[in-house]
Amino acid sequence: MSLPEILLRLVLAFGIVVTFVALNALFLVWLERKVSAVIQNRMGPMEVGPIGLLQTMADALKLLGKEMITPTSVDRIAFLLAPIIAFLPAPLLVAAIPIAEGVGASDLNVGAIYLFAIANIAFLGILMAGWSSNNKYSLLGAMRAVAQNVSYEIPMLLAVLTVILMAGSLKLSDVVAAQSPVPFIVFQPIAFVIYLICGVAESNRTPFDLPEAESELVAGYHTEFTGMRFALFFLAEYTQVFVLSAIITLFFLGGWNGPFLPGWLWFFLKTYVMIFIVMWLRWTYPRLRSDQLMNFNWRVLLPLAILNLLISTVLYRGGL
Amino acid sequence: MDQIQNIIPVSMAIGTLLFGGFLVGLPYLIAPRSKGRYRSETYESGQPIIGEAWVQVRAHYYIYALVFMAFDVETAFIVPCVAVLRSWDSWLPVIEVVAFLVILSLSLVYALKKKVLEWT
Repeated sequence: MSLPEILLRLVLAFGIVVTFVALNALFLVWLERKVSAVIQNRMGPMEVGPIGLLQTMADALKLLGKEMITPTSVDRIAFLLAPIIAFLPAPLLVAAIPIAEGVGASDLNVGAIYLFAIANIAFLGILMAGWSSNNKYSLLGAMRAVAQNVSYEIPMLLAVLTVILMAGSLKLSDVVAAQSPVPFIVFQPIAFVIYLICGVAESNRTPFDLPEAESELVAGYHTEFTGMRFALFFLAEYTQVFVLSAIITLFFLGGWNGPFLPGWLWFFLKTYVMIFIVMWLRWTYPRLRSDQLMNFNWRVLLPLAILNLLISTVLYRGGL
Repeated sequence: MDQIQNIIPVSMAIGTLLFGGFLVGLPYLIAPRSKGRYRSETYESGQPIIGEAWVQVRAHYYIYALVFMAFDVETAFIVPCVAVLRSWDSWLPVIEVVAFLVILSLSLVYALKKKVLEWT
């Protein structure tokens, strides 16, 4: 393959992924507002476009025209870089997710590790944002976010390890292929629940939204960020929700396997149902307290995850 | 084809940095500019600002970070072992993984006993 051809392919892949990231975030913000509206017995956005579908598009355009204020007391370099660093993992993660048999920007043979390694770049962006803002709310939000995210990382990885154990491969398409008749959720219900809890905690959403608890911290780590900078944090957050649901779909719900419908449709169906469940959680549960959150992770989730991995290792070798 | 798959993440990272920079830079050209004495002050709910936010944080975070490091690195060590467990026709690797996990849980018990993970 010649060099221009390779470059063309790379640019094409980047264009498709970024377009998907943007459209997905716009749709998810709309969906979130609609879901919250239904749960709180309201109508939600109705004015712009049919049933308010274009509302988020209008919001995004409005954000583009907003002034970006850089407070004088911030650490300029870290402040300017933070939103970009926080946004960096979003397209990288989406690019690594295969949506059907052989369809996906890059199906790496270390896919599972890659996903969890790249996802952690977002925490660097959050810490940079919180520290550089020189704002008490931001700093508190960032410290909480990082402490919470790193601790929920461990049970999350241990839960995924049980699936990797059963699939015998780190490649995402192999993991999906291994669940051809029966998805792994049937064999690993505990791992599924642990992963779901940790995933919601990692994406900083209620009941784990301490980093941006509105009632005490204004907006948490992105208090000082205006306009497009804020929009980048928002994009990153909603892409994270999509990636969380997509990973659950790939690892536990059988990916694109399913009868009658084409594979990619099954994938998106399962993913968006998971996204709906995550939103449902957000609008029905109250927020946890900081110490409850930490104790729950270290005393319940982590021992449970270790035990789960132990038992499945032995059982799996024993013929299951 | 495989070659392209492997360079996609790198090119994606470069593209994202450029694209992010473009998105953040665009409003400088089209957005209005305001003036005012308090415009560029740190937000503190409208109150006069008291001191800086760059203060020392609890030393607890440091010990906590160390515990996290230990657990995360150990988890990373199990990953390759677990991935190839299927292709080995012997109980030896299983026993090793089990021993490793038992030691890992002992360290968790130790950390709990030392009250490193207490949050008040």
